[in-house]
Amino acid sequence: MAEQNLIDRLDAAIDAILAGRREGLAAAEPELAAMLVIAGDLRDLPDPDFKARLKAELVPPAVEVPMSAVQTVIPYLVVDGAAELIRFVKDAFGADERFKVHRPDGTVMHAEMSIGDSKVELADIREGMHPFPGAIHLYVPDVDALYERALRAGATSIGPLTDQPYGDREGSVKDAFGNHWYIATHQENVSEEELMLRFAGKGTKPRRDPSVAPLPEGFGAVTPYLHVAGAERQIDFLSRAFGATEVERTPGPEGRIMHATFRVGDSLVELSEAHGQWGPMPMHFHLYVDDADAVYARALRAGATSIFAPAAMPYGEYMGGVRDAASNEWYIATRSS
Amino acid sequence: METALTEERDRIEAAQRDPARFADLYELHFDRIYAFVVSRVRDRSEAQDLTSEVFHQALANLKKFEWRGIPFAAWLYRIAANAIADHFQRSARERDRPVDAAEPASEEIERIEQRATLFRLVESLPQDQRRVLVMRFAEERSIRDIAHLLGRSEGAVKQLQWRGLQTLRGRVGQNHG
Repeated sequence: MAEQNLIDRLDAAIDAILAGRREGLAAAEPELAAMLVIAGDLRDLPDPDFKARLKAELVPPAVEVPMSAVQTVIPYLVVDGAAELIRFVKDAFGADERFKVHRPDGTVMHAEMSIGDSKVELADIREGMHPFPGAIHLYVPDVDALYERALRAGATSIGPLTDQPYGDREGSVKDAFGNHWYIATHQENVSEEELMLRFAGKGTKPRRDPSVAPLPEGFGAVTPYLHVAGAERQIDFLSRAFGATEVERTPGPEGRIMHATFRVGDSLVELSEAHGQWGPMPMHFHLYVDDADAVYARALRAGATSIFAPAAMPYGEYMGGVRDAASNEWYIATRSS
Repeated sequence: METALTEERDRIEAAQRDPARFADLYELHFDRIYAFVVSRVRDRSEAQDLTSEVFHQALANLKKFEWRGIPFAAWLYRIAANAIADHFQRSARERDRPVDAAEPASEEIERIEQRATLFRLVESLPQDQRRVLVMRFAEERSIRDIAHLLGRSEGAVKQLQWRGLQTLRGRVGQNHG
C-alpha cells in the first residue's frame, strides 16, 4: 500500500518533469528524491530510433541477404508513416526488424521485417505518390492470442474470430494504414467435397483436430492476398509472366473465384475476385528471380507496362519494375552479390 | 588507462583506413556527445540535428585527426562546441537566448559523462523496463498511451517505470561507487 502510494507519486512527479516543472522534488523522501533526479536526467534520453538512424546514415549497413531462406514473392507495403507501421508489426505480430535504410529526410526508404519464417518489406511513400497498403494472410500457432494482441496494438477488427468452413480459425484486422491482416490458425483438413457441403449448409460443423499442424502444408507465416477485379485475368498474368502454377481454386457463386492459391517460385500467392468490402486492393511485390531481364520481358509480353527497365541498383540487386493490368506493381530482381 | 588509450588509437586508425569501422567510435561516443549537446540546446529536435552534424563532421575529417594522446572524446567535444556556437549565431537573430557555446569545462564533463553512463545503463535494463522508460522519456508518451500499446494495465506500466528507475538508481550507485 505504502509502495503503491510511492509509485503513484513518482509518476505524478514524472508528469511534472516531462511538462518542464520541477516543483516538489526537494520535499520528497530520499528514495523518491533519488529516483526523481534520475528521471530528470532521463528527460534528455536520446531516442534509440534516432541513434540507429544516424548510425545507418554515417555507416551504411553492408548489403547482405538478410535471411538465409529464399522467398520468391515478398509483399511490399508502401505507407505514409513507415516507422509507425514498423512499430505496429513489432507490437502486434512480434516481427523482427532485419534491415532498414532511411532517406536523407528521415523517412524509411526500405525496411525488411520478418514474421515467423517469412519476410514483409515496407517503405514510406515518396513525395507525390500515394500509399499502397496490402492484404496479408498470416498463419500463426495461436490465432486467438495474436488477434487480441493486434487489436491492442491499435488495429481494428474487420472480421471477428471465427471457425471457418475451410478448416481455419480466423480473425481479420486492419491497421492504421489500411493494410489487411488475415490472422489464422489451421485446425482441420477439409476435403473439397466436405467444403462444398458446408457451403451449402449441409456439412459437418468446423472443429479443431489436434493432430493438424497450425500452418497448412506448403504455407509459410506470410502469404500475400490479392483482392482483384478480374481474378481470371490476374491468374493468366501470373502464369504467363511468372510461371505461376495453381495449387487450389474454390469457385463461388456465379462462377467467380472465391479463393485461389498459386505457387510462384518457392512462394504462395492467394487471390479472390474483389467483392463488397473486399474491394480491389492492388499491392507492391518484390520478386526474386534468377534472370530479371528474362522475367521482366516475359511480364511485358503478358500485358504489363514497364515502370523501369532492369538496371543495377546501388544495394546489390539488378532490378526492373512492371505494373500489371490490375495495377499491382512487381519489382523483379536478381541478387547480384 | 594505458590499455584504454591504445585501444582507442587502434579504433581510430581502423576507422581512418576503413570508414565502416567508424561504427565502433560512434557507439562509444554517441551518448556523451548527445548528452553534451542536449544540455546546451534543451530541445530534442535541435539536439538531434546538432548531434548528427557533429558525427558527420567527425567522419568527414577523421583522416585529419592526428593521434597525440588527446582523447578522441575531447576532439568530438570541440567539434560539438563549434557546432553549437554556429547554431546559436545562426539563430541569434531569431531568438534571444543566452549563448553558451564554450567547450565543456572539467566539472561539466563530469556531469555529461554521468548522464551518458545513465543513458547507456537504460540499454542494459530488462526489456520490459527499458521499453517503458524509452516510451515514457524518449518518446514522451503518457502512461495510458504506453499501457494501450503494450497491452498492459496502467498500474503495471507504472510499476515497470518504478522498477526501471529503481534498477537504474542501484546501477548508477555501483558505477559511481
